[in-house]
Amino acid sequence: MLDRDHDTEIMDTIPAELFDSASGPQTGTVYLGIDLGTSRSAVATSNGVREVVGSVVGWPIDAVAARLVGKSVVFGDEALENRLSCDVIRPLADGNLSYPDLTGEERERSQHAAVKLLEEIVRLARVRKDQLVYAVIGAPAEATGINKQAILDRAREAGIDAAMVVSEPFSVAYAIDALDDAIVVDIGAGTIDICRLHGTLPEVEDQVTISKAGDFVDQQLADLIAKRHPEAQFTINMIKKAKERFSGVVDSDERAIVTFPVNGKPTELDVTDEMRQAVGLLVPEILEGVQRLVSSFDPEFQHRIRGRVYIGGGGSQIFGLRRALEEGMESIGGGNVFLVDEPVYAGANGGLKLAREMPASYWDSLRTAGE
Amino acid sequence: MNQRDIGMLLETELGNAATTHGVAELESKGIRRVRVLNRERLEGAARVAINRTLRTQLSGLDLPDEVRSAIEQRALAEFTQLISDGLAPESNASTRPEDLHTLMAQEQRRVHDLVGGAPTTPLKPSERSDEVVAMESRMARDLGDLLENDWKKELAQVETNHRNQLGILEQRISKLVRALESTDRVLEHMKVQTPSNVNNVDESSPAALDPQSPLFEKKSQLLSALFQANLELKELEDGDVAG
Repeated sequence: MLDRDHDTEIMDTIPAELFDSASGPQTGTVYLGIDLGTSRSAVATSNGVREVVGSVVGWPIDAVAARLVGKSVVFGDEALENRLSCDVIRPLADGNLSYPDLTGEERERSQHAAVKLLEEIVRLARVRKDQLVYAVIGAPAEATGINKQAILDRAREAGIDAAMVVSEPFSVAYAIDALDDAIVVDIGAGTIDICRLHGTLPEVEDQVTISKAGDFVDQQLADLIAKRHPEAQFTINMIKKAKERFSGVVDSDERAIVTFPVNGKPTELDVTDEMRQAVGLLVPEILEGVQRLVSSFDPEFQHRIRGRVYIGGGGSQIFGLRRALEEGMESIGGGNVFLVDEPVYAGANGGLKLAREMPASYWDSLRTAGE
Repeated sequence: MNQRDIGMLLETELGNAATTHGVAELESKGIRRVRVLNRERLEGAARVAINRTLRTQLSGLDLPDEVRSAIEQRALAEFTQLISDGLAPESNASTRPEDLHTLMAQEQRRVHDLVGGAPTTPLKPSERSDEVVAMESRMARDLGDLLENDWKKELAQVETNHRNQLGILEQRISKLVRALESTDRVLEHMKVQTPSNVNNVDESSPAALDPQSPLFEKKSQLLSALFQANLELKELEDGDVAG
C-alpha cells in the first residue's frame, strides 16, 4: 500500500540513469578541460572521466562502406582503421582548426568534422542531457583571434553551453601551479608551444609556437627510412605508430625493429639510427624557443625561469628528451628540466582545474552573453 | 472429513450395493476363482481420478505450484463434503440401496442443473458404480471450473491493484524529476545573483578557489584576466554576427 510518506521508497524505484553519469557528485553542471590536439585530443571532466581520442573524423564513403563500418561517423583509430572505406578528415592542423584557412566544400567538411570531434569529446565525457557543460579548451600559444573564435563557435555547435579558450602551455602551467618564474614546453603533434610564466596571463611576447613537432618528426622519419630502405612500403600512420613505440631508443641501447612490407612480404627493418636522427631534430628547436624566452626576460630573473622548465604533452614522453634538453641548456647558462605528471592529460587537467576554479558568475555571463 | 472417513463411506456404499454369495453357491455355478478388490484400492483409484481430472482441467492455466496444489486439496475437500452430504454416515446404516440410488440420482441432477445440462435419467442399480465414478469426475471438473474462475478473478484484481500502484509511482517519479529540474534552475539563478568570491560554497564547483590559499590572489587575477579575454572574443564574435 502506498501513502504520501513513501518518497524514500519511491526514490529507490527511480531509474539509476536519472542520477548516474560517472563517479563523483551529481550536479547540474559538468566542467570539461579539453586539450584539442592535432593528433589526439584529451578531455578531463569534473565527473571523473578522462579520455583520449584521435583527432580524426571519418564518414563512410557509400552505403556499402556504411554497412561495413557499422556507424555513420567514426573517430580516431577507428577512422584510421577504416580509412579505405571512409572519407577521413583531420579537422586540426598545426594545433588550430583548419577550416578558417580553407575554402568551398573543403572548408565546410573540415568545419563539420570539427563539430563532430567536439561532439565526440562531449559524448566521451558522459555528460547527462540535463547538465550544463562548461569547458576550457586549449589552443596553441600563438593562435590568432580567428582561430580562437573558430573553437568557440564550433564548441557551441557541439552542445557546450559556455567555453573559454586558453593557451595550451598556460593550461599545463595552471595544472601544476607553475604560475610564476617558470617555462612550460607543451610538445604536441602539430606544434611545440613554449610559454613563459611570470604571474600574469601570458601575452604574445611570453609565448613561442614551433611548427616542427610530432608530425614533423614523422615526416622526417619517413623520409629517412625511404632513403635507406627504398623498397619498403609504409604509410605515415605506420611511421607514427613506430615512433610512438620506439621513441624511447633515442637515449638507450635498444634497437628499433619495425616490420614493413617489402614487395608485399612482411620484412623486419632496423630503423634505430633514423629514429634517433628524426626525434633528435626536436631538441635544437625547443632549445631555441626556450632561449628566446629567457633572453627576452628581465635579466635579474632569467636564472629563475631557466631553473624551472617543465615539459608536457604526448611528445614529452620521448625517453632521454629531458636530459638532452637539460644538456642543451648548458649553452645558455644551464637550467633544470622537469617532466610533468601525466603528460598526455596535463593540458586537459589544467583546463579542468581552470574551469572548476573559475567563478560561476563568469561562466553564467559567458553562457548568457549570446542569448 | 478425513481420508479415513472417505474410506468408510466408500466401504459402506460398496457394502450396500454388494450381494452376498456363499462358496457352495459359487461352486455350484462352476465358479472356482474370485478376484478381490480391496477398499484401499478403490479409495486410491477415486483419488487418482479426482487428481487427474483436476490436472487436466487446470493444465491450460499458468498457475503457481502452490496454487495448483491448493485447488487440488480444495477439490478433494469438496468431494469429501459432497460424499458426506449425499451419503451421511448416520443415515447410511439405515439407507437401503433404493434410497441410495435416489440420493445419487438427485445429486447428479443437481450438478447437471448447476452446469446447465439436461436432467439425467436416474441411475439403475447395476450401473451405479460406473455412474458414481463418472459423477465424481464431473463434479470434480465443475469444481475445477468454479475454482478456476475464482482464481482468475482474484489474479485480475491483484494485477489491477499493482497497475494502479505503478501508475502512482510513475506520477511521483515525474513530479520528483520536475522538482529536481526546478531546483537546478534555481541554483543556476542563484549563481548569477551570488558574488563571485562566494563561489567556493557552490556545490557544483567543488574545487573553487580557497581564499586561504597563498595563490588565491594571483589565481583570482589570472582567472579574471582569462575571463575578460574570452568575453572580448565573444563580443567580437557577436559583433561579427550582428554586422
